[in-house]
Amino acid sequence: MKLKTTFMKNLIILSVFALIGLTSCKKQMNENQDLPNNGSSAKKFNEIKTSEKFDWKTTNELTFNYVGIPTIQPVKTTLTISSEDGKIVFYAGTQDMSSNFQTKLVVPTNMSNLVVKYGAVSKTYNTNVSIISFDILPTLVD
Amino acid sequence: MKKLLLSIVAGLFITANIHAQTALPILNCETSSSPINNGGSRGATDRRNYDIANCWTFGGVSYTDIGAISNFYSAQSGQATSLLVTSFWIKSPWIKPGSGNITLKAKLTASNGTVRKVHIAYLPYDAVTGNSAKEGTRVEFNVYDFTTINTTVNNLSIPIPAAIANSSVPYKIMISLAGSGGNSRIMLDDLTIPSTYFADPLNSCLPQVQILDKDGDGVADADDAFPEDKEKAYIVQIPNATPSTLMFEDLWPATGDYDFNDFVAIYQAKAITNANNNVVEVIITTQLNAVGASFDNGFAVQFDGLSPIRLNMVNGSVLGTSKWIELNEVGSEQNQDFANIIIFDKTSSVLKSAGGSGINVNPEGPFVKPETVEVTVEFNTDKEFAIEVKDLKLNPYIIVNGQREVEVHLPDYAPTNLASKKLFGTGVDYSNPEKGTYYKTKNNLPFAIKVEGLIPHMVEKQDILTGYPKLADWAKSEGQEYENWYDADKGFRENKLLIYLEGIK
Repeated sequence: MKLKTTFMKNLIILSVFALIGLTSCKKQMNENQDLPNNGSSAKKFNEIKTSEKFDWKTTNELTFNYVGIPTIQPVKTTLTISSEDGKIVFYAGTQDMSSNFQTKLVVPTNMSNLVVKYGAVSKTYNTNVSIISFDILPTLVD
Repeated sequence: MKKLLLSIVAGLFITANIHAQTALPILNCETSSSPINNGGSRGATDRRNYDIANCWTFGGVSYTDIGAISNFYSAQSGQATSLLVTSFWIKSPWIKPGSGNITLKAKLTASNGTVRKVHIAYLPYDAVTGNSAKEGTRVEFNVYDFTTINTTVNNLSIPIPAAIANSSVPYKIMISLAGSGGNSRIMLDDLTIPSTYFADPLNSCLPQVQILDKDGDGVADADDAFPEDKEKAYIVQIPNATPSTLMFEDLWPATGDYDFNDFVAIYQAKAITNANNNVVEVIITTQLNAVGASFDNGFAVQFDGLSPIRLNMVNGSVLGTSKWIELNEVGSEQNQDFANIIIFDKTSSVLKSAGGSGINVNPEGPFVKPETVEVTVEFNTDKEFAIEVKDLKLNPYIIVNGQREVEVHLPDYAPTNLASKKLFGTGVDYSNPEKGTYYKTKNNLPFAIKVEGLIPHMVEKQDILTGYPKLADWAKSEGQEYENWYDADKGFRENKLLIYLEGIK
């Protein structure tokens, strides 16, 4: 009986140590996962070698096309291109509804969408394209 | 003369959107929305799109070039086997009806069918109980019955009812095509309604409303950032000058410690434009955050490709006593082919050290509140000098330690006239002006980095890779991997090696 009690006591002590050990390991593993250094081969900036083509820019360049449509009367209003929250306005100008218009947009790579507004028409575009074509044609009614 | 003639009756509607009042709007099914004059079904779609964009609406009615009543295209219903007036219809834009007769041409596509009719009605404007297009209850005032079922063209001429003639309030005319038996369709063309066009294509085709434009520049107050200044209308971000963090090494052409904190600033530039989309002003805002250098560097911006003669005045530069400063009469730098604006001549003119080496680069402090310099560049808007935002290509750079001939620019941005070209190719610099490559090493490493957004800068003497390890993978992959290498949310930062000033996330 005493032998069994001692064995049980040792087992409990071992289990407690094992649990502490595992918890510590888990914490250590999590800390290691948090380290951003994982996988980065160069440790110093001057060890990096990149192609001459790489431009170091954190922006993407897009071409924006407004596709004009003939109108019964000359119609013009404001065309705006902005970030989704409207805080950054990449373009704003008076646009004739019937005239085509093209401009270049330089958009931060971490910005995924652009909002184009013209009169009451508002459309959202993903920035992972090289060309955005915008027209105001409404959805056809049949 | 063909077709729907919405003749412009008297009536002066002052709006910011609709300008001409003398146009002769026509629904002749012939004008295309496409610059390419397509034929066939594509041409039919393009022509109907043009009319839709001009606020005509269609229900079950298409355009066709087969058997057109006149010229090349006509509108046609589906097989007219429904007597309902809501099966096949055309609605005009909002108009202010005049007087006289509505005219149109109609025919059947085949000589079969029991009944074929054209119903003509008006729809009042009803903003309260109307549908989403603000159309009120339909009021029919004429029905034309095809008494002979054949393919002959019928010319219809129906007086505008007295109830709406010469009205000062808007209406739509609704043409319905109905029938029973057989399979012939009803074609329609050359529809004219004596009236004033009163729809706004840019406001969901609702009736025109008087738009406030206090300064009369043609830009509605709701869109006008300066509603009481006719010389200004819009504020836009200049390309490549959205709010960014600029970080420079200042030992060029020698190699540095690559902590990129010798000069750290939050930088952005906005343009103010007028109703003609010409640039009136450029506002360059620079918040000097940190100086991890013993050099006292200046900061300037070149407008690449833009002659100084296009400028009217420069205001707001912080110019100390530096002897190298030479300005022309408008305040841009003298002896430059392109307009150069000195933002400040040296960092010590803007930020004063609180003691210790460097400013805001030691994690223990002391810290100094960053200072902001706002420079306004006024532009000449006369026709021969006017420019647009697309003409603005800003090239920010530092002037090293009062040596006007030593500039450091972002990679592949060209030096100014006043930079010494003799320094290119010396030290670790590998610039090749003939190829248009500047301020990079043999391994294509830059001496300055610009990051879109406001990011923390490095602790003094800490290589930038220790704070931003994924920068290496981004560069080596030529931007294909870890394009957000500076992103806090993705855990890409080693925060204990970075300095977070107020407002930096």
